[in-house]
Amino acid sequence: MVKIAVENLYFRYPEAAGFALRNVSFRIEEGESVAILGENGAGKTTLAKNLNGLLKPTEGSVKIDGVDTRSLSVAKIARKIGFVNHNPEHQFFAEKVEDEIRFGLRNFGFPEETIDKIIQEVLSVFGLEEYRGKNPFQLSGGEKKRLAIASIMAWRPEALIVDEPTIGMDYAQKMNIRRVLRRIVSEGRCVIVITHDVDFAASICERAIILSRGEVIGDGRLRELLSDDELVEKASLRKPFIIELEEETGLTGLEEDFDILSSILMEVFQKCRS
Amino acid sequence: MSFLRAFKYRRKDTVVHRLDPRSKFLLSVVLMMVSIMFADIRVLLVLISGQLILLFLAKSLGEWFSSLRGLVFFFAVIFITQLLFGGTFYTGIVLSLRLVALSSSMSWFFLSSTPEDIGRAMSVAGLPIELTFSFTMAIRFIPVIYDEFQSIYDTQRSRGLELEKGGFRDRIRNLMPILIPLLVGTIRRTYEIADAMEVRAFGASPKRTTYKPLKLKSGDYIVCIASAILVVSALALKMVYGVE
Amino acid sequence: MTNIDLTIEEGESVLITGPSGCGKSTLARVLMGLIPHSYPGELEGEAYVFDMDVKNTPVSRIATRCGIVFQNPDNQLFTFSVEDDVAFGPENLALPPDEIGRRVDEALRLVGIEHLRHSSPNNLSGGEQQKAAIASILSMKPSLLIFDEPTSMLDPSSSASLIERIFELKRSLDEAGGKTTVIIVEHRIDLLLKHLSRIIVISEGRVVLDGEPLRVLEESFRRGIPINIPPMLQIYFRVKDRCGLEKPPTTVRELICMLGGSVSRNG
Repeated sequence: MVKIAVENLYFRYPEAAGFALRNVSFRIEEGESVAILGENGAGKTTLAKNLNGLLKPTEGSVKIDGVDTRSLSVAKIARKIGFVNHNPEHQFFAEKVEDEIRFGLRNFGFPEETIDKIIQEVLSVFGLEEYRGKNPFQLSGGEKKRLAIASIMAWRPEALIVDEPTIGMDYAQKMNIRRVLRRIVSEGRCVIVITHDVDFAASICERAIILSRGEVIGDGRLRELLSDDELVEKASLRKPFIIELEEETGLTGLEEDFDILSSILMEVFQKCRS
Repeated sequence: MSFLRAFKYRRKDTVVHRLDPRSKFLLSVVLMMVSIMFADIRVLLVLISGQLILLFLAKSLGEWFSSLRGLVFFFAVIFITQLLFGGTFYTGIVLSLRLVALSSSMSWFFLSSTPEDIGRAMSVAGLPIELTFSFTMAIRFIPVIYDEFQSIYDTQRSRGLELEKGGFRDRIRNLMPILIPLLVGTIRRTYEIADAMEVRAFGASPKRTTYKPLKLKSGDYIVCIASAILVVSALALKMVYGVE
Repeated sequence: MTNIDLTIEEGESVLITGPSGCGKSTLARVLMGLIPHSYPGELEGEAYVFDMDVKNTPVSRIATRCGIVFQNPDNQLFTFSVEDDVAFGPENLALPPDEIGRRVDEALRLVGIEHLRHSSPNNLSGGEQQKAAIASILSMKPSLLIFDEPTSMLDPSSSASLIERIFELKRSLDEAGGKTTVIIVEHRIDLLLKHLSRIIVISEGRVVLDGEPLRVLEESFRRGIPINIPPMLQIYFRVKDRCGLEKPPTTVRELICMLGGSVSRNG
């Protein structure tokens, strides 16, 4: 399984005055679930694109399983680390949903006989079977997002980077994406979620890396970092509801499932009474 | 193409930036004419120093200098062709200076006039609003569409697309995953822009007014008179004194 | 969309919400007259905006009473300075230049972006672009403002600042003697709730709920309509009957105090 090591990474866009990322260092071990948090313009997407070789460091290095990204092609890295764009429409070009999934598999040279089998499997895992022959552009927003993730997960990368998965999604769609990502985490794959939706991040990721103006200002357990008022304020974030609830009640290990939460709360107060 | 930087408008508050685009355009055309008319090094040098003063007034000397580096390639081409095809070192210098003079006349105009001012000058010149507006909007949305292209390109590369792979036909086919999303996105964008324009009453009245009507100020008259003097003296130099 | 029956009075602050693809943006475009004028499709029945029949009134006429801000901040500004974009509408109406000048000043002030007057839209953040888009609608002096998912492309802090600005704007217009109606089409409910006088829920092209915000949210919760009910209310609706809570909490601490209070009261 894949390991990512970032060392003293500085990145500057060509012709830009300042660095978009400054002195970023961290390691991501296999199977970790990491949220990269920060406000717009903090450098989240720039960092993500450095992790999968779309951008190469100006200074410092990013190493995938010990190999510097400068010596690897984007395709080579993509085979190991999938990247899902924030806008699924930036990737759709095929006439049918199934061909959208086929694209990556062909690029990576999967044999034709296995491709059909994989497509079938992926469609059913992501709940997209009924749309198989449909035009990707005609799907709903949530379905588009799931197809985008499915078309990457098809070749079973060892890690997945998802950029802003919840933008423009309603509650039900968010829950669907949450389910999909949690399953990928439970398979032991590494999932890196770039988001400013702290509630969503808290429901998926163990670890958080918090960026502000191109610098890492926090790296550690997500729940610990996001209960630090000063840090949350500095990164223009918000404390997730679930953490506020834990702090106010003294309970730990709560999950964002309102049925369970409500019954836990009721139970606690019943107990207090007796 | 770093020398293109000398043509990109930058917002600054200078005497030159405040001039009316029409008078600036007039002077810029006159300067171009003069630089083509003469092959005399002295005249060209005087012309270039004059342009340097204009660029200095526009606080844009920095951009001009950095664009010179981009011109080095063209100088080299000029000298090589001159030496190969019977010219002299002297003619090489003359042609290079002429190139500098020509490009500075244009860059002075473009550095200091907003695309909008240019559009406005176009509509004063009688071109229809639809045309002038398309011109400014095209320039406004180039960076936006470029960003979209970059995002699409990055996405498809992360799905294993390799543009350089395969023969000619493969390469053409490889462009489809980039062109199709870009086309779809741009068409959608066009609709959205049209909606946004319509709800702001675009096309409601045939006699649209302008908030900042172009008005010639005293500075503009000076520029116009200077252009006229320049034309007269250039003609005089050429015809009466016979300067080459 | 089928069989939509709605009347919105002057001065209301209305949220139109519903699951994705329910038709809420379509409704916003009908009100502006963009449907049926600019899009193919069939429009049956009638829609009136300030007694103007949208079917027979040109969009540019409707635009003088009713303004709309769209979802994508990038596509609503066409020029190279915020000022010129704000002047764009009044210029199209062929107003005299000094009147346009006054309107531009006022619109920029109302949205609080005087400092961005000469900035190019290309250099603004999404939140600033949306504010500029609002200013460029305000210069048309509409008394009905429609927002079609104005925050869906913004981060949480810009969204919050935009929403606050929208209602501050309504307050100052109302204080100046106007009666401004605000209609927002959105997924996000948490940031808006305290400002609303009414929520309309659309699902599968029909109005399924319409009324006082809290009542509408509770009813959608009971019926399982997937709209973004704020987490606090999610819990409140679940426990209120059993714990005898009477009003919704506004902070987590309040929720816990209420629950504790109800326990000690009952015990």
